[in-house]
Amino acid sequence: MILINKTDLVSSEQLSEVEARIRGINPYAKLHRTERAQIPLDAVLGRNAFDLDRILDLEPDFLGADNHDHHHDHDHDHGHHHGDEDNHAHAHGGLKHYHDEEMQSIALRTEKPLDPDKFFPWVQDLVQKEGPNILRCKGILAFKDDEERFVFQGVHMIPDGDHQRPWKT
Amino acid sequence: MRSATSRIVFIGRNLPGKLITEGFESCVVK
Repeated sequence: MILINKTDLVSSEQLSEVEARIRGINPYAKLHRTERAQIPLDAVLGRNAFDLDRILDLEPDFLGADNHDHHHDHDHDHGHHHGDEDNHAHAHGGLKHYHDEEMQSIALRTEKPLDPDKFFPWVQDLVQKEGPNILRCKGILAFKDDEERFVFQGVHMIPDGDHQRPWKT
Repeated sequence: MRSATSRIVFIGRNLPGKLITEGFESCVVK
């Protein structure tokens, strides 16, 4: 299930374009257009939307060796790929299909504290160099000698963050 | 003892996985 929010801020053409791109990634998910994230709860909860057979139809290797943990405590999951296909869009029944999507997610986790004097220069440098490719990054971080959770988020080349609340003991 | 697990996720296209993973690891207090 996918919510396309802030639909009041774009034109219908832009909205259709976004929907077509999403459909290129996942042709089956239910799409909801929302404004200010307003949607009835019964439209998003208890829908039994996870269907393994449907996922295996889309991604035959979903349960295969490509979904794994490695690098110590870190997870590293690759997203959907159409890497071998041409970068283009074409129409089927008025709906454009995109094959240029290289959407990925990389999730990292560690039980050890982070050094803020290393993390911030590193992430600044990363988003400066890779910002156009990084659509979003979000994290909850534990820094050394810091009793509070640090909530980090960034969009393209703009990292941001703040302390939130103490970690639960 | 606090339960503090750092988690961060990057979403994007053509992400440099090795660069991100190793960079993050380098920020962990040894």
